[in-house]
Amino acid sequence: MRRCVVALLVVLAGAIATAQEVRLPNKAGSIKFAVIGDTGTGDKHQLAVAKQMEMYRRSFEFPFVIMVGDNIYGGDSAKDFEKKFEKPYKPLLDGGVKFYASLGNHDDPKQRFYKPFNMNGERFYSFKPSLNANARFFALDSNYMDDKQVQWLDKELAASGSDWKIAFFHHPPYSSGGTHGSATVLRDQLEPVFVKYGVNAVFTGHEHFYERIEPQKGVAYFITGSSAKLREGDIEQTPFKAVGFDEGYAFMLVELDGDTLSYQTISDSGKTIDAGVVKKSADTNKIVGTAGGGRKGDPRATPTDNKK
Amino acid sequence: MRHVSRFIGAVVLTFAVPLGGPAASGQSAKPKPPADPPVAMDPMVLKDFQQRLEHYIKFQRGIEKEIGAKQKPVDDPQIINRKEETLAGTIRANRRQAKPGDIFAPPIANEFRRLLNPQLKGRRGSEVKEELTEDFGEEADEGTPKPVPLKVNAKYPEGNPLPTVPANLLRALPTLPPDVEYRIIGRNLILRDVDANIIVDFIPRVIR
Repeated sequence: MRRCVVALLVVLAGAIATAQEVRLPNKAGSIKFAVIGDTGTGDKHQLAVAKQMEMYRRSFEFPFVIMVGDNIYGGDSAKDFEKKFEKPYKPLLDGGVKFYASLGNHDDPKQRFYKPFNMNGERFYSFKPSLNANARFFALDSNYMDDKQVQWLDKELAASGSDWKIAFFHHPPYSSGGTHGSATVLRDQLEPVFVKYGVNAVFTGHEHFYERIEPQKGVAYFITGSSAKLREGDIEQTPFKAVGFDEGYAFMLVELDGDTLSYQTISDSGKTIDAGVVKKSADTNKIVGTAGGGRKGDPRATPTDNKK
Repeated sequence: MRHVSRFIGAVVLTFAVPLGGPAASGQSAKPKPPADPPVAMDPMVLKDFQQRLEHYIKFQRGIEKEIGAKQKPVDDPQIINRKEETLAGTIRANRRQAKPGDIFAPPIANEFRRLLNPQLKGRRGSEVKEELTEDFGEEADEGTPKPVPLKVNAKYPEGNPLPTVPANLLRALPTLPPDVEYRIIGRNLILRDVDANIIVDFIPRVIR
């Protein structure tokens, strides 16, 4: 009996250690944030991911979260917001974590008036995490990419003196998903703007899995659309896929420090799915390589040449 | 009317300066033909559309101001919903006589079909059509969407996805002020009042 208890304690201790294994530099003064997508179900999977976020925050104190859309599925009543946002993320909200939302195809644009989403009444907007941060975030509405929005983005990016330019929105310009795949029409519209102004990283959702794409034209792309929804076995083999995970739910932790973006993707059971770095050149501000490896001992451990 | 004037300016810009670059070529992406540049809209028809739309926007904003339904960021979603419903109810009551074609008069509807047609051809067109069915094709995962009534002043069903409008279709059509938006449901185009969540007008069979 005693042996069993000891064994159980060892297993539990191991599980806890795994759940909090932060593989990021976790430096003082760096920009830290989390990424979630396709969250608004209010079901046990959303709660499980939220729980992991809360646990990881004890070791990696991210002050804000970016949401890549489909924030509230199925309706926009006060009860929906309570069940699908306020309750799951209560510990984070109570801890002062700010959420910055973008709109998915399941989101009514009126969500922009919901204060805790920090959209300030706008369908697309930009923000700096702090006054002296060397990064600016651009939240876009990929459901309705009209000329007005593209012109706004063009102007905002041109005026942004930030080193890091991070865009986030719902539909992935590159995706290995069998159900949806790459949003090519959107890509044609946005990619030239991203390349022109040196957007460094793009976070999206829509696909209910996690995928890291090999940098494309100097831009790093991540899909995190499985923070409450999952489309198992949907990832297909594509030449641009670096790492994919469609067997469980996930969220991301990201850290910006100097010219390095470090990322860690964590499943609903607290396991690390993917971790690594994206490096940009200090001179050109363009992504020059990535290093990282997937959960299954992905051998990719050397910088990837993105000039293909 | 600041936004409306800006919208008219934006319309001019839409047709004068086509945005976007050549088709992207990711590592796996097959070479794609560049999207067809937008076809110029008949100026007379465009003017007619702008006037009809401006009339609606003036009316909607007037009501919004009168009943204090203008939204601002709040913590309570109930307040947002209440304002939306009040605005929708007042618009309906004041627009009882509205009928299909009040904004999309037949020449305008035909012109919209003509503008969209080149964007729906070829391989790019197939991709666009695929994108258009995606949101309503997701029903297995996201729950079956409710049917969208093709009816002036009808409420857009709450909880339904709002189908993404492919960027090239938006580029082909006149830019709208922020109060209203285009959505394509099946083969039909609706003009949705964003603040009131009602269908202002629609064009049937815009997608061929």
